[in-house]
Amino acid sequence: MNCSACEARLAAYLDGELSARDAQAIEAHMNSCASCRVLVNDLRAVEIKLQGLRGVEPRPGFDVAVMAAIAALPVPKPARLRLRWFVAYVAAAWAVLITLTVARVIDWQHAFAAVAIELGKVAAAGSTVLGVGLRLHLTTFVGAGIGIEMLVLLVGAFALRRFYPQMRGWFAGAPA
Amino acid sequence: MPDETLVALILQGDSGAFAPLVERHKRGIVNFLYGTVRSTEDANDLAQETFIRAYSHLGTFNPQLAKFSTWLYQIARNAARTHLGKERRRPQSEELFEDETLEQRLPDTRREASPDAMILADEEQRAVRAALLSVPERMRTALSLRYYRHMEYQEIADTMNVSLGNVKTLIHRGKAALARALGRERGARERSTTQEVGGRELLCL
Repeated sequence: MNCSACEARLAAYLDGELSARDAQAIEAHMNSCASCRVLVNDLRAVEIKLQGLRGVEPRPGFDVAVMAAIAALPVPKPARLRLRWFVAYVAAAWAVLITLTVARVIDWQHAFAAVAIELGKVAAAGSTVLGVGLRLHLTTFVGAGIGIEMLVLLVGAFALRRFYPQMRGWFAGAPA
Repeated sequence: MPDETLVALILQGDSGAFAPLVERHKRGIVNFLYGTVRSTEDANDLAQETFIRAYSHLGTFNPQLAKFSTWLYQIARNAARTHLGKERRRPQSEELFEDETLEQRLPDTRREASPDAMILADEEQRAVRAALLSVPERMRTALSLRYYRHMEYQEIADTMNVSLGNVKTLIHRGKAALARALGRERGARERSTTQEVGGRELLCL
C-alpha cells in the first residue's frame, strides 16, 4: 500500500469501518511509513481534543427575550401559494397569449416585438418559478416547475407551427 | 408533544406554543453556533435571531420535506454564514474570544486545587476554537454539529443537505485541517517563546 491509498482509507480506518484485513494493511503501511504514522497520531489527538470541547449554556433570559420579540410580530400563517396555483398561472398566461394570437390582437409578425415578448415571458416565468420555490423552500418543486414550463413551451411551439414558414421574414423585420 | 404538532398550533394562532420549541432547542442551537462563531455572546445573539426568523417564516415550513429541528439548524447555519460574511468585511480585532478571557480573569476556586491542569485545559480549548475558525465554513459546520451538538452523521447530512459520504469526508478533512492549524499555532508559540528567551538573554548582556 502506498501513502495516497492509505490516506484515502484513513477516515474509515479511524471510524472502525474497515474490514480486519484492510485495517491490517493500513497498520502494516504505518509501521513502515513515518509520515502516515504522524498523520494518524495527529488525527487521533484532534479527535480527543474535539471530544473534550466544552459546550455553553444559553444566556439567562434567552427564552423571555425571544418570546418578547415574537410577540411584536404578526402570527405566522401557512403559505397559501401552492404548486397548482403556479401551474394554473402558467396555463392561463399561455391561454391568454394564444387567444390574443389567434384573434390577431398581438401582431406576432413583427419580429422585434415577438422576440421581446418571448424574452419577457421567459424571464417572468423564470422569476416566478424561483420566487415560488424559494418562498416555500421547495427545491425539488423548482425543478418540477421549470420542467412544466418547458413542456408548455414545447406544446406552444407545436401549436404555433403553422407560422414557421414565415419566421424568416419576422426575423428580418419585414411583414410576411 | 412533537415539534410538528406545536408548529401546527402556532399556525392556528397560538403563538404561545412557540415557547416549548425554544426551550427544547435553544441549548442545541446555541452550542452549534458557538462552534462556528467567535464568542458566546455572538452565539446567543445569533441563536435568538434564528428563533425569531424561524417564527416569522413558520408558514413556509413544510413538515413533509424536513423535520422541524433540521429546518431550524438550516436557519441557524444561514444566520452564522451571514454573520461571518459581515465579520470578514469588518477589520479584525486582535482580541480573540474576549468573553472567555474575561471568564479566566474571574477567580476560579477549582483552579487553585490544580492550577496547571485547569489553565492548560482552558488554553487548549481556546487553541482548538481558534483553529476551528480557520477551517472552511462547510467543514466547520459539520465539525460543530458533530462535536458541539453531538449529532449523528445522518442527521448532519440532512441538516447540511449533502450525502452521508460527503459528511464523513467533510469531518475527516476538517480534522486534518484542524491538525495542521494546531501544528502551525504550536510552531508559532514555540518560536515566540524562543524569541522571548533570546530577548532576555540580550537584556542580560
